[in-house]
Amino acid sequence: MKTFKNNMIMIKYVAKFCPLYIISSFFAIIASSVSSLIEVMIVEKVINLVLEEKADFNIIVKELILFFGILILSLIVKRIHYGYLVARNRHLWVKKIQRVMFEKAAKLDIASFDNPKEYDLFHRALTQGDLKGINTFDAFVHFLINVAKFFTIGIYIVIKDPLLLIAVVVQSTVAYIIQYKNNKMWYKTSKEMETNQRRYGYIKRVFYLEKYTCDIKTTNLPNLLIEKEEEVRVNLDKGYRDTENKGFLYNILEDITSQIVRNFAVYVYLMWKVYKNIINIASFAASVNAILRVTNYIYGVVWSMGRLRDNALYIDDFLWLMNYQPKVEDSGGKKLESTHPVIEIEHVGFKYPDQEEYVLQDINLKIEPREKIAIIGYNGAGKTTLIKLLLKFYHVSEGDLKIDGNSFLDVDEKEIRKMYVSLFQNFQIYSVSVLENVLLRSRKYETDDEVVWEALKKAGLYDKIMATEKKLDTIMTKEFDDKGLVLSGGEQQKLAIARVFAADTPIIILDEPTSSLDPISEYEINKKILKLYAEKTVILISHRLSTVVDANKIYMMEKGRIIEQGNHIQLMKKKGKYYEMFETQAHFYQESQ
Amino acid sequence: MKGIKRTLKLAKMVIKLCPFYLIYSIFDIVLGLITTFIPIGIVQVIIGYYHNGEKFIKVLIVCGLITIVDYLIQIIYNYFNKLYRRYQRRFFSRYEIMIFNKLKEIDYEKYQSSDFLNDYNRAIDEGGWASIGAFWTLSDIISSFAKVIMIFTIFALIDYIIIVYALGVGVVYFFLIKYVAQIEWQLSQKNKKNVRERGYVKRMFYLKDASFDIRTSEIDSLLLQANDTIGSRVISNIDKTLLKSSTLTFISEILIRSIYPLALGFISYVTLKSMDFGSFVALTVAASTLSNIVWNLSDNLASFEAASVRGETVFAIMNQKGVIEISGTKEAETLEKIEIKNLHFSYGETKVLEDINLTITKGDKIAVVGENGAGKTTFVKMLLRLYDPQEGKIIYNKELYQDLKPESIRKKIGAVFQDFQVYSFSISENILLRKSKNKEDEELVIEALKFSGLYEKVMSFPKQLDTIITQEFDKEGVELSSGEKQKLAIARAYAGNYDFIILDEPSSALDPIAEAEIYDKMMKLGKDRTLLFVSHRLSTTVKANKIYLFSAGKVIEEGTHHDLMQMKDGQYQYMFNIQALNYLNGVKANENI
Repeated sequence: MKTFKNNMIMIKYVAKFCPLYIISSFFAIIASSVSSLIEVMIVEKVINLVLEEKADFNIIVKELILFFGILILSLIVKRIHYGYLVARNRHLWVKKIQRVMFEKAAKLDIASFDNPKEYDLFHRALTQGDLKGINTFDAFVHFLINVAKFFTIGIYIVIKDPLLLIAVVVQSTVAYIIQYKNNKMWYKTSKEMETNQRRYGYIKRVFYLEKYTCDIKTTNLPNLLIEKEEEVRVNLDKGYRDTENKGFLYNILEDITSQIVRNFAVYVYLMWKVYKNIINIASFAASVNAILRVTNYIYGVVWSMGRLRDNALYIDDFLWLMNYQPKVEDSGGKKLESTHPVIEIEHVGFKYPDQEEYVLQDINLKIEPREKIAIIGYNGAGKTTLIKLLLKFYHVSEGDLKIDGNSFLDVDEKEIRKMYVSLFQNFQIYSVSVLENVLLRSRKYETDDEVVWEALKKAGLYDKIMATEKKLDTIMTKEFDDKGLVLSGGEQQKLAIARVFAADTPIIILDEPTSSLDPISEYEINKKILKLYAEKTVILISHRLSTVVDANKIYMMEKGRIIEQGNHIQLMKKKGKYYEMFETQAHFYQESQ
Repeated sequence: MKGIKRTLKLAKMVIKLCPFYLIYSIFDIVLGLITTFIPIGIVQVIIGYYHNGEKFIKVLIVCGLITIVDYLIQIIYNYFNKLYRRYQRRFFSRYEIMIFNKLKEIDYEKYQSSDFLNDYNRAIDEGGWASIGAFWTLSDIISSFAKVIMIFTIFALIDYIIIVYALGVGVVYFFLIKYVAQIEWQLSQKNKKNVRERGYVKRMFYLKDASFDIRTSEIDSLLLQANDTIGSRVISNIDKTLLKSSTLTFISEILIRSIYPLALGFISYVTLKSMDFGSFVALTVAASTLSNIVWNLSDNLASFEAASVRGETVFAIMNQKGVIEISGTKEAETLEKIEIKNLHFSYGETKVLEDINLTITKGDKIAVVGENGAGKTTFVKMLLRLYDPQEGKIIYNKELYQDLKPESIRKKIGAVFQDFQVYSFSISENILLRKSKNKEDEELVIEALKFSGLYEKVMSFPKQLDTIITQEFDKEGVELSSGEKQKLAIARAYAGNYDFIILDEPSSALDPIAEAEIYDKMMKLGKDRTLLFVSHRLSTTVKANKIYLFSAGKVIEEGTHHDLMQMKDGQYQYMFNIQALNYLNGVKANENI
């Protein structure tokens, strides 16, 4: 039932985006039924004409020409559908549905990315939803064609001899029941084997993804992977063995009925009628022909139904995405007015949905305009999570985040995020132009170029970009353009830093911004960041404690709590954990003095 | 011609990897002949009985016999199909392993080329299917030929005219279809780039990497616009070729479909003249078979070219030749000394290393420092013989690097890189990078874990050494924190039992306490070995006995920390001081209180 409902929903979507496709599919179904009917009828016609007392070859020729004419017409209809509309509309559909799906994807809560079950659904919907969408529709049309042909020829048979219908019905029912059980069994097993199947994909990825290449070339990893590949196959063999054996039995069982009906019952019964002069040879030949076809159509119907059921599941994923309602994105409607907001974090506690442990507990801090704040601490202390909350990627579990006195829950998240420019450790360089990578939008204002050049200068990339042919319009990465610009790791970080310099937001968030840079570059950039942004609020996360000594306020976190706070001098005086950390890092530099 | 050769090559490969395919194919051809003949034969016989006035019981017997024979054939068919799934898995697994083994011979440099990676991806994703496709195309052609000969013989007994017509139509159809296939191939080539770019945009929306930027900037509308443009380009490409290919396909369809009515007319004419009604009905069955078989044969022949083109992806990889990976005849022995003399290395047009001269003696603790892009990591890769120099030489003990087997060098020299990777396998497999096969392996793993400080943690897991890392394939898998991953890296380096360990920026993502701990372990690891580390944190270079400062591909300063700090206007001195600045200031500030 769900299968039917899901496929109906798919048809609605296809109708919405490619209405012509629906219409021509309808005509294709009719054309297919007509052509199979006339192919059966012509046999009977011709044989009857030949067996006549005064057989006239000219009449036979006329009938054959008529037959061929109708056939050509149906071919025209089908060719227009399959040759033109299918090819073109597939891509039209993909283009339109991708826009809709991607817009939905952009509104997905970050929480859904972090939740494995939801992410699985999302991933499947997005990677397969477009083509699978149109494929499910095509499969449905294919199903309808087989059903239409089955009914057309079936009616023809019934008109000739209702008893034959029984044979057909019996065979159909048996075939359907057996294949239904068979398909269910196969589906269940393939679900169980899915994880194993994915391992193949993993193994092949390790062989080519850049991050693994060094290990691949310098260690025994390739041989380990080859052993794992064998392991997977052996597991799959084991897992499928029972199902394969049972499937074999199912098929043999079904074949008994089809053999008995087709070869025995039909031929014998029809010949008996011929012997008894109830029907003539022509009728015999036509009926045999018809039964043969109907048998094939039955298989077509049964097979299509299996596909429809499979597709219904993909449709489920697709619908999940289309019906998705974000909880965090699009929440809150207030706009903000100030250009230098105050952010208050009051007794904030946070745990990820579906998790037991609290990642943040009782966080209290106030961010005033133009402050330089550093957040430091042990790995896993919750520093990055706190930043995610500031960006309103999640709702807090306890307590409240306020901006200019307004609760985050009430304010439009786009307004909040407009206040920040952020630089994270795993920043992304996009296959768009240099300018678009720095501004993270397309060229809009006249001042854009100037702003970007300034930013590149400050980040230390001016010379490199100046040296290129297309300068700010140079495409980054070789993904879209063989002449695309590929930067080294350090240069990439500089480009990401240029984003910060180019932005005009009151708050800057930096998460380990200079970790890949050499000492000189690191020093220069840190200097520029701290000096030039007297007017801005800076929130810095860093493991290099040398970069936090000038902060107005340092917050030290451990296991989700703030354990020490103050400026560098105050914290050193305390001789607490900050002092210990700082000394550890400073130790090596001091020793050398 | 070329297509046939390639298809034969692919078929040979398929049979070599999985001989079952040959058996199945032979069986398929023989039985195909039988099952094609049965409908014609059975009608001939029983109608013949009727015309000759034989008793009805004979019809019964014949039908019964045919049913049993046909059913036995079906059982064998089903059995083969059951086996087919299993052997197909085996084929794919062996095929992939064949590709993986080939990759072992490929130089590291090739992995940087996106063309090569594309080829690899296509070989892995499509090559297997393309090979099987080519094999079955060949098998189906042989099968069709056999059937065509059989049917032609039947018709030849009457007259050659219809055969000539069918052959003629088949040939024209063949050429038309080939031409259409060419048009379609050109279209797919034109759209290849577009499809790839669409894939990129899609990835940006479903991979986590870009999710932050998408929600905090306007990069999403940029990407959506790009996608729309790509979609329109695809559709316009299709529109350009569609009319031509559809019309040609339509003409070819009409030609092929004309065989049936013409055959019917021909048989009717002959029967009317000779008045031999016995074979007439059987021939009507043969007529439709004729049409189908000529259709199949022409289709199969036409798809030769396409099948072999798709199979090209296999050869793109299998014909690759490595240079470095297959060179060298001697094994590297225990490290005493590595001398680097006048080393020059360019990557493409860019000069990366220039005139490097240095000596590494057993027991050295070497530090390599310098700005981003100075050539440090490339230098490390040359030590691992991932690249060979254009000029100059590296001498290992007394042997030239070029004469040593790369594999043997990498058993003596091990590297830990910045972005250390864990694999979705067990802990012992992650440490050994092979399967743990005996007691000695297990003890080595335990030793390595104890050394790196992970022992207690691992023993606390229920599956201990066999615990799977990451939850990708095992819901009970564990995720390691970044500190724990670094410790795993240490354990792996330990278990490798190298003479010489290279550490490339290994601790940049850790908090100061964890960083100090790892540094400590690394020093211990290097205690009785030769050690080289590349680092931006000059605190780690203090204890080295040889420091090399790289700049723009050259070594500009070398010596101990003490020596370099004494250099007038030395760059090392400058770098160290600015990095140490805040640590020393910080401490001094403390001391003033």
